[in-house]
Amino acid sequence: MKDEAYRHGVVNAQIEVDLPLEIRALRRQRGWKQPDLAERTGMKQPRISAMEKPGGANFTLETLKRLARAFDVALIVKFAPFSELFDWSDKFSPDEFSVASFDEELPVMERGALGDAGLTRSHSGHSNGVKGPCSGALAADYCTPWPAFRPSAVDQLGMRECLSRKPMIVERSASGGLPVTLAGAQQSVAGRD
Amino acid sequence: MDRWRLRQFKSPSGREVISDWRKSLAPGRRAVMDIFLKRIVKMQSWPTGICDPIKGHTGNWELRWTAEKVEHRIFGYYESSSFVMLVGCTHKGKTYDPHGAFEMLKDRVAKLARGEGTICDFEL
Repeated sequence: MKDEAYRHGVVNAQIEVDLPLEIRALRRQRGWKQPDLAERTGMKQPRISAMEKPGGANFTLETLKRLARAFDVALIVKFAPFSELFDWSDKFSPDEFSVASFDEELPVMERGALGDAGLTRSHSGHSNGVKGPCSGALAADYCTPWPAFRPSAVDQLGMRECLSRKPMIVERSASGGLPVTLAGAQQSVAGRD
Repeated sequence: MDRWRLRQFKSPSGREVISDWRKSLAPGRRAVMDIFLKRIVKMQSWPTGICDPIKGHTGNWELRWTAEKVEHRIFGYYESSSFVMLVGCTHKGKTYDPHGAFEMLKDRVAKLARGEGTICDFEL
C-alpha cells in the first residue's frame, strides 16, 4: 500500500470492480431482471449489462444518482482516508451486499426518531445477547433503544404510541453495508411512567 | 469466507505463471486484479461477463475484467471448487498480449496432461 499507484488502483477498483458487483447484488436482491432495472433507470438493457461487468462502464455521478433513485437507496460520495477504504474493502462480499430501500428502512427510521427526541441510547439487551450500551460491533447509529421516557418524547409521539412501540435493534451487515438484520427485543415498561 | 480456491500452472522450471504475470502488470492494474480476484472467490457462482467459456477451447474458461480501459483475461478451467489459472493476458480487439495467449493455453493444458508442470495455489 506504500506504492502510491497501487493504493490509487484500489480506489479505482472500488469503482471498476465493486460498483458493478453492488449494482448486480441490489438488482438481484429486489428480484429484478436487467430489463426491469433498465426501465426504472431509463437506460437500455445492454448498458445495465455493461455496468454489471467489472470495468465494463464509465460511471458518472448522474448515472449513479439514477441507479440510487431506481433502488430507492442513498448514495454517499465522499473523500476518505485510505484506512477507511481498506477496512470497507476487506469486509465487502458481493453475495452478501445488501441495502434496504427507503420503504424497508422506514420503520427503523421512525424508531430512530424516538432516539432523536432525546431518548437514551443505552439499553439492556442486544439481539446477540450482549448487554449494555450500544458500542463496538453493534453500531450505535442503527441501534435504537427502548426509551427511558422523557417528557419531550412523550409529547412528540403521544403516550399511547410510545407505549405501543417495541425496541428495535439493528445490526450492521457483515459487509459493512446498511442494516439488514432486524430483531425486536421485548422489554417490560411497567412502572416507567 | 472464500468459496473458491484459485490455483495456477507451475512450469517444470518452477515458474508460477499467474503470479509472474501479475508482477508484470503496472501497479494500478495489479491492484484492480487483486480486488477482482478477492471478490470472485467469495461469490457462489460467477456470472456471464465475469467468467465465460472460451470459444473453440471446450472446457476452458476466461475470467474477465477491465482496468484502466484495458481488457484483462485469465484463461483456465474449473476443477471442483477450484479454478485453475493457466494464462494471464490483456487484449484489445483481436490483439492479445502475450501474442500467443491461446497457443500458450493449449500448450499448458497439454503439458499438464503429460505431467510436465504442476498446479499450485495462487495466494491472494
